[in-house]
Amino acid sequence: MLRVAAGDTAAFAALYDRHHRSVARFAHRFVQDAGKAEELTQDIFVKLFRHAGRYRATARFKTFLFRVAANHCLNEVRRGEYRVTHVPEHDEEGRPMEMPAPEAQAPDRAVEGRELEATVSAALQRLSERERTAFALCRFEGMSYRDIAEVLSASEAAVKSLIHRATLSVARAVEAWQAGARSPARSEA
Amino acid sequence: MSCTVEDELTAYLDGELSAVEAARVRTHLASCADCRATEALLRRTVTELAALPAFEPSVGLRRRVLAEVDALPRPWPERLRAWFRPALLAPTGVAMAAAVVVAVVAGKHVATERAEQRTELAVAEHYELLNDYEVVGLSGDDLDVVEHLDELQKEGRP
Repeated sequence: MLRVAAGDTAAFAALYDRHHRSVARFAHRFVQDAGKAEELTQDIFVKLFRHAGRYRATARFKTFLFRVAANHCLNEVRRGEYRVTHVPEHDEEGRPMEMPAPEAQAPDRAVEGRELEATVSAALQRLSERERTAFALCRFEGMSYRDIAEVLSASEAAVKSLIHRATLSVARAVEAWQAGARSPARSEA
Repeated sequence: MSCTVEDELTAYLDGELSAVEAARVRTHLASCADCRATEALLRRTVTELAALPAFEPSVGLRRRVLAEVDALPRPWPERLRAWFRPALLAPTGVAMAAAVVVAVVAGKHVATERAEQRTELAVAEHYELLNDYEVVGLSGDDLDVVEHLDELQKEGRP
C-alpha cells in the first residue's frame, strides 16, 4: 500500500487482483445489479489509489479498504445515483447474471439457488443501510465484529445488534420462502 | 419472544461471545425451546447463505480500472522518483561532474593564462628597464616590482 501511495501502478494492479472480488461482491449486495456493482467497484479502487497516502500501516488493510468501499456505496446509494432493485437482473434466458449456468448444477438446485438468492436480495433491501453493510461484511466477507465496528465507526455492541437484527430478518424471509410463501418482497421479517 | 438471550444468538453462532457469555447462552438454550428454534433457524440460514453463488466481476473491469488510474496525474513522490531514477540520474551526474571538472580546469587555465599575459605585458612595457637591471627568472611575485620599476628609479632606489 505504501508503494501504491507513491504512485506504483504495478503494486496497485497486484492489490486490485487480490481484493477486487470482495469489493465487487460487497457492492453487488448493495445495488443488486452487475453493471452498477462494477461501476461502484471501479470508483472505489480509483478512490483507493488517489487516497492511498491516507492509509496508515497500523490499520488492517482490509478494514481500510472496506471503510472506503462502505462509505462510497452508502454515499452513492443515498445520493440516489444507484437505485436498488428488488430482484436480481436476468440475462436473455431469464437467468440471474451472477448465477452459474444451470448445467453447472443440478436443475432443481439451480432453480432453488436462484430463488434463494432472490429471497435474500429482497430481504437485504428491506434492511437499513448499516444493517446491510454489517450483514454483508459478516456473512459474505467473513469479517469479525471488531473489524466491522472499525469499518462502520461503531462499537462492537452496536455491530452485534446490527448483525443479529439483519440475520434474523433474512432468516425469517428464507423461512417464509421455504414454507411456501414464495413472495419474499411482500413477506415481513 | 421476550428472552434477552435471543439478542446474543447470532453472536453465539458466529463465535463472537466470550467463554462466559457463550456458556450462559448454552445453559439458556437447554431450557428454552423458543430460543432453540431461533438458534436452529439462524444456524440453517447462515449455512445456506454461505452456499450462495458469489458475484463475479467481468475481466473488462480490471482493464477499465487500470486505464483510469493510468490517466490520473502522477503523485509528487513518483514524479520525483522518475527524475532521480538511476537510468537518468547516473548519466546526468556524470555529465554534471564532468562539467564541474572542465569548469575548474578551464578556470585555472584561464587564470594562469591571464597571469602570464599580465607578466608578459609588464615585461614588454618595461623591457628597456629590465635590460638595465638584468632581471632574470621573473615570476608572478616579481610583477609588482617590475610594474613599479620606473617609480623606484625616480625615487633613486634601484
